[in-house]
Amino acid sequence: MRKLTTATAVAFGILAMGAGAASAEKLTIGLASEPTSLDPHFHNLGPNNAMSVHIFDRLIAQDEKQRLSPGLAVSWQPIDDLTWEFKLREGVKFHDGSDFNADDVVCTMARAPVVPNSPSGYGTYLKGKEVIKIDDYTVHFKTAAPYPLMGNDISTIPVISEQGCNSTTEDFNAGTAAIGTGPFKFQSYKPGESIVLTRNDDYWGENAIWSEVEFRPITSGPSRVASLLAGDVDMISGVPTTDITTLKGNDAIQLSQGVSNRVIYLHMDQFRENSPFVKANGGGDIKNPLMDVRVRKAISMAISRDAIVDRVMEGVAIPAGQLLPEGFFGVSDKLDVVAYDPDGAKALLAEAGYPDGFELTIHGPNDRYINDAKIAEAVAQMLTRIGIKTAVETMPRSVYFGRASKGSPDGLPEFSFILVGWGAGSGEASSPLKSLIHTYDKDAGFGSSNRGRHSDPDTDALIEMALSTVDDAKRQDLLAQATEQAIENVAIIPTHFQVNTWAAKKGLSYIARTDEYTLATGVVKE
Amino acid sequence: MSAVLEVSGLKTHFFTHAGVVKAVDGVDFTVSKGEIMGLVGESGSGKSITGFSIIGLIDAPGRIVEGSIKFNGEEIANAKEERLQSLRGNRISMIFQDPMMTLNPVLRVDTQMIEAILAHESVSKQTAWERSRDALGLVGIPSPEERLRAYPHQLSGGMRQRVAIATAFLNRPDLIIADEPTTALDVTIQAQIIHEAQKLTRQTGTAMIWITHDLAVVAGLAERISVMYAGRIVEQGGIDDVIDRPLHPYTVGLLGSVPTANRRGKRLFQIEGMTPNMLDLPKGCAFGPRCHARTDACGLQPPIEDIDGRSLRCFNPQRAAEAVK
Amino acid sequence: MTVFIIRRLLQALLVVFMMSVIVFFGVNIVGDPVYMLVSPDADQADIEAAISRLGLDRPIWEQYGLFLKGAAQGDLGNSFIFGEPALKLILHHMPATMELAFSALFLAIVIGIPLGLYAGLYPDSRLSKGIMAASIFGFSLPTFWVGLMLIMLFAVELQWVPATGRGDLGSFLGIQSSIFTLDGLSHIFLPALNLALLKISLAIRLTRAGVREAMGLDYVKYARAKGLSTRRIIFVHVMKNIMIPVVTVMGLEFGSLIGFSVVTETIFAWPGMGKLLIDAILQLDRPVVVAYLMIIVLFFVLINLIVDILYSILDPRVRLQDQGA
Repeated sequence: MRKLTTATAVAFGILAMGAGAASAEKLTIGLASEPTSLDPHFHNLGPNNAMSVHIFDRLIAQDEKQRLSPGLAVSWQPIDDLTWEFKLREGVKFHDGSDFNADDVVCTMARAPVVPNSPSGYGTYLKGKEVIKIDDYTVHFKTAAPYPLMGNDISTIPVISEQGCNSTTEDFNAGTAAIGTGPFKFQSYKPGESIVLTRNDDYWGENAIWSEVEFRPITSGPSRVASLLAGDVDMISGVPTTDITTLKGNDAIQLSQGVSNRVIYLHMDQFRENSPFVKANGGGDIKNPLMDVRVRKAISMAISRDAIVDRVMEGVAIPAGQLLPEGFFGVSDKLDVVAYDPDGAKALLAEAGYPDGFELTIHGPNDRYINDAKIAEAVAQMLTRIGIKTAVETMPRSVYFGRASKGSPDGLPEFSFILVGWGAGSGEASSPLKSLIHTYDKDAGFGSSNRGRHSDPDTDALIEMALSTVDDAKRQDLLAQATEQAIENVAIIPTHFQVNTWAAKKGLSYIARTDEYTLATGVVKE
Repeated sequence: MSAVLEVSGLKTHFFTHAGVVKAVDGVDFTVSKGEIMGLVGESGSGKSITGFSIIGLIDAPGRIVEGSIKFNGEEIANAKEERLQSLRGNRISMIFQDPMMTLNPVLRVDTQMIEAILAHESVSKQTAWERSRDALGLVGIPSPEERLRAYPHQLSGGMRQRVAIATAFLNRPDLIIADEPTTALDVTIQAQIIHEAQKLTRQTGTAMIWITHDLAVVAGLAERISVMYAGRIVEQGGIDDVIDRPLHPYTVGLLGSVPTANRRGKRLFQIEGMTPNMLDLPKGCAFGPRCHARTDACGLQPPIEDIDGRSLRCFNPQRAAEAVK
Repeated sequence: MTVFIIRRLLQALLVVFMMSVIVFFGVNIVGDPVYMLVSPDADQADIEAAISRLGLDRPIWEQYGLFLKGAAQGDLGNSFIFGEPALKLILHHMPATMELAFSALFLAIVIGIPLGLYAGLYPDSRLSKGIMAASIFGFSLPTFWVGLMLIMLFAVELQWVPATGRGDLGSFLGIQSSIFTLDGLSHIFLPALNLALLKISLAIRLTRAGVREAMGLDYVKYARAKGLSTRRIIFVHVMKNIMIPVVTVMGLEFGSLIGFSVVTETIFAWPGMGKLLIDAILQLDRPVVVAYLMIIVLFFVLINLIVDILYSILDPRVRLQDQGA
């Protein structure tokens, strides 16, 4: 009996080895932006987060549509109004062989918000939450008020080991502390040059098909495309829109596209009667027309979202009628994209008392969103056609955002009419609603990016209720209603949702993600 | 005595955009072994060009268009560059006017002397160095080892010129062409240099062509003299003979304009008129417009005449001599 | 010489200090770094926390004072973006830039000077005219475009070399560099060429001008009169003279090769300091910008110093300030 077992074991061993040896596949990816650190808690930045997903698991994973699924936690639910219980996965090992358990979770949650020198960490997601270890595989998260978004928030925190909790950011960058439970292990990190990961063959989940992945940051768009064409890399992220048509026609290249969670929209000054960049025809002062909902509606109708998508974005975008694309949590199925109707817009303007329009300046960044400056110009042209003579001023984001948020002499938003974008990191509608639509309330933390200072108490109430409604279905309705009100009141004017494009050599394709992350686990063979 | 150099009918013209400059237009002379010939004329007379023509350093847009230059019986006018290179600095040397410009400022003296030897002879650097040191001693330079290590700008004008002279003698040439070697120096140094040069030529039997505009210099140095004007030799002969009894009006004028103690109190003699424009020479005798002894015959180019060992280009030599007295 | 060097270094410190003031306050005027750093999800409280954590809530004078205090101990602050010490970041990226700069300089010398020499010696040949025309392109074509064209041609079409990135490192005499491996050379070739293009054009034009000028000078004529071979005249006499301006200019240009190879590094994804700088500027990572510019200023002063010393070695006529006679 024993002999048989041994023989079987040996046979399986050989098979396993054989299988392992067969998939010695190396993948090279050219990245549009480089992670700034391998310390997963150092900076809450897209590229950093995408990189950390390879090495570190979260308690809850987000799939390519940002839907939640079990990660290092096998279940999570509210056990009372103020407590969520997370049950942890057993039998998981860190890359150094040590066991994963609740102690790691507790120290992770303690460390994540307080990394020294962190430009912007994960404090936002852990604010007001208390973590308690119940036993080796159970933790409780407690809040002062009911918190339905616990899952979404916790899904953003990469889990490190206790050893990692005692390490510095430098240790992570050097690789000695970069020990996670994820599908890939740290191999080497040359800042600015390459990050190499090797497959974790003891991963608790499905093994990656790639035995080794090398990430190369190539920030210049044309160079990135050239690298792919030259065969230096197998795949690239962030394909410039101007290259998409050429690459489509190239038989050696395969494109993968997917809508992102980022909406591009216009914010209007709705709180100052004398707005700095709104003037009467001829340049004189005028009572701010943007405070009138009819004017805002007219503006929305004057914009041809199809034209923006087709001509400015070269087809690589989706017209937006609300804050998140279809399929996301909290999206309303009653909202359509506002139809392009320049005549109706003019009529509405006249009704509001501006038959001859007025003068406006639109401000926007020129190096932040895809084709941002061109979008601003297109919008300006469209508005000018209905009588609102619009000048355009774009600037680098390093100058733009500071001014847009508090650049005026009294520390308020400096501009009157701005182009911005919003990526819903949590993958659901409460994110934009809370930060863009809710009345600006510094103490409560609402409206932090509400630069137009739109304020509607009914909408506020809906949002606040949603944020404390744990029942998913009810919350979905509340969010949808809040969105509908926001759009009805033209709190902001969404223009389109960005579509992201990845390109790979023929035979490879990428499962496009709404969070714009580039993951090696998403690269599949055709 | 055998002729080291025989120049006959030499014409060196420059073909410029503005026209043809006939810098040397029919020059004949002979230099014998060990002889010092003075080539005298004002600026633009073509004397330096004559010197360069002999050594083969006429560059575009100029070239030797006609004539023969026989060096030790060998025709070298328009000879192959390799042949000329092997002769230059070796059998025919040249001393230039301003040694500050002619010595390379970034190379040491010893480098520039040793290379002159090594270009023509395969000896060891040590041997070449010793010969250079000895040559410097010969021209009267004290502590020659130190001077060898120096850069040109660290030496005085007179010292530099001595270096140039020493360099010219390094390979024991048969002929040295000295192009205004003392013009850039002050009078006292001039005298010394002239003395050294004379001494060396006597010692080595080297022939020399001493080009200058200063008659006084040539008077005490040369054995024969050729006077050039506007590209031609207008008078030629033994030095004492020419100075005592100049025949060409130009020579007369030159001699007359030398300030001497004997003529104290008298007004300095001036040759009337200006130096001719080489692009637009007058028809006939080039000196005609400035000449006291001019006659109608001078509308034609006077041919060379040999009178008592003197060569002359003039229709009216006697009358010129009288006019000055 | 020692006094000279010390004085220069003191001047350097002064310039570095002034640079730090200008940049520190200048970056402040551009915009608020906080908004570049915080995630958009952050609410007002988070933003304020970030501001105070970075010390940006203090008055700018106080911030600068703290910076100076740290600088005196060698701490130039931590990068806002990377969290690491700015100095460490820059030093880490420096080798890549240095090897690129040296490679570009090497190409400029090895390609530019010979081509310029040829163009200077034979100015009327077709090849020379072609070289000069090409040098104009070198000046006028934007580095960005040329870089991309090089990639398209050599990497994408011909597939001779990789498109971007730095190659494997090798070791030689204790120095680690990618130029010591074949893989590294294949990676550095295009970016070095791209960076060198401007410098090659400069070298060509400088060398040609120098040669044209030198060939007309007396010391060249004198060297020929000594019978020296053309090779020696060009490579010893002429070269030593024209090297002075060439070395001076190329030396100064080298400073900009090190400091501002931003475009080339970005196009070729070369992990050097230039790219670090541009990213830091765009994201208002003030500590990195300040530290970088202070270091570059030091470099420039050092290079100037070396060029001055080289100059005094190459040209014996030049004395450095404070040197005894």
